[in-house]
Amino acid sequence: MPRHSRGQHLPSRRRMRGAVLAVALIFLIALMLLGISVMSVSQQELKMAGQFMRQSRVQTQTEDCLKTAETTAAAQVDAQLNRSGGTLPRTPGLIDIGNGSAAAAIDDTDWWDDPAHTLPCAANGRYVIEYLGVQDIILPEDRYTGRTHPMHAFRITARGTSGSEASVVLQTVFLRNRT
Amino acid sequence: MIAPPCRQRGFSLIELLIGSALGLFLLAAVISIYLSAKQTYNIQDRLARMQENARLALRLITHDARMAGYLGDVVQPWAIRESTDQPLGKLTSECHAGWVRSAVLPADGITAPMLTGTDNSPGLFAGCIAAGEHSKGTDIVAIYYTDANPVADTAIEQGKIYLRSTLSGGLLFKAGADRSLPKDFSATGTPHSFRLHAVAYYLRPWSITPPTRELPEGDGIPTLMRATLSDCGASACVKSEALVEGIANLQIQYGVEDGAGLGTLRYLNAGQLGDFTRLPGKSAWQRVRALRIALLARSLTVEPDFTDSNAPYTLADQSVAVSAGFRHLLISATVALRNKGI
Repeated sequence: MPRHSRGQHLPSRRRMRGAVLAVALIFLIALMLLGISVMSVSQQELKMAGQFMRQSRVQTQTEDCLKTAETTAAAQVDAQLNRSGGTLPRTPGLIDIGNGSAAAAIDDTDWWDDPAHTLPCAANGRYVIEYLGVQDIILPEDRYTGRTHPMHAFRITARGTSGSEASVVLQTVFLRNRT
Repeated sequence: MIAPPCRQRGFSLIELLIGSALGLFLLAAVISIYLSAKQTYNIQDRLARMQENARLALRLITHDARMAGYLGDVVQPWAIRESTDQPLGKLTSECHAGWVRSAVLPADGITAPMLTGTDNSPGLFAGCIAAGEHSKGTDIVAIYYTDANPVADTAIEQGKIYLRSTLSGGLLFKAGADRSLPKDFSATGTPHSFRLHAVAYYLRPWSITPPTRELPEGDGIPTLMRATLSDCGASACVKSEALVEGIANLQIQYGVEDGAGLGTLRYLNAGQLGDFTRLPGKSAWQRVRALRIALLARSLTVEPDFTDSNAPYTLADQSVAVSAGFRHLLISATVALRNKGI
């Protein structure tokens, strides 16, 4: 009789333990789902903020790169012009478009990363100077007469990237008196 | 006969009470955790959306501001003329008389503003922004520039305005039905045509649902709008488009180069810069070298029991009161206008 009674009790106890486990698991899953959804929102927010930060950092770095390029380019161009007596030989970082060379390939990453074409500046930044030949330029005082002055024209292009996520291209044109 | 003793034994009343009390307690705890998690999620979602809106709005304006004054191949603004062969003519809708011509062509003979704006009112832009479509107490800024890349001569479209240019000079023209190039282009060099953009950013007090008699405020969601120089068949015109919702205020200040020394900027409101349409005479608009943009983003839905402890907000030099029950986010940026440095 006692044996029989014990035998009847055992399965019932097992069922109870099982139910507690199942309920606990259901609660756990519900909480986990909540946690995951909150996490995914904040992760998305983090990604957006990160991209924003990278974008503005690259922008600043490229501005810096262009500034560096502008100051070094003027000196480099003057030296080249003095050395060669007014013509510009093709050297890395200085492309003579006026003599029929191809213009900078703005969209081509491999072209930009090639040290034969571009020069480094700032972090992850590179720049190139393109010689646009002698151009007829109107000075402010000649704005009504339209009289032009022949000047050497150069275009500096600076490109900054942060891996593959953000890239900024800035360009400036500068003129040099033909001496 | 032996009765099956254990199988029929039920819970006692005490057991049942304790069991259900514990169960209820547990349920209450779970429900409260769920509710607070849901509330947190909602707030987080609202904040994320607000941040995204604010960033997008700022990015759109700063991108255009950086391009302000870009004139294709031309490096000297004084070398730009309007074509007599294919003149701009009158736009079918304009923000104000000659809204492109007066900002892009150098009225004083040297530089053009390439940037205009108003302070807290539609003002000059009454022609393209109706009073009901402008959020009271917010600024408007108009920016002029050409595309960074030239358009192929064969891809020129009727009704659009282009700048045909070389390093030596530029010619502003409107493409006609035959999409031909202007015959009076005389500058030396190989010319390229760049499409001209004129955009005006402003805020509208509603997003999708306009105000009606039953709903005097419409949906009441303040929205960043852009009036753009576009093409309407044969002529150029101005069209407005909604860009980002939930932008409650926009304040712009202009960094004007001080006549006294190089590189010193004084930040002024549009009202302090004078009327750029009343040229010749070098107006302060020509000496704007930087733009300070302050944006106040607002959550889209109301939370009745929420009070913003940061209010009122200070945008640029202006204190801005906010509507109760909404969350707000203030962001600002200062942009150097590289193309206006001549």
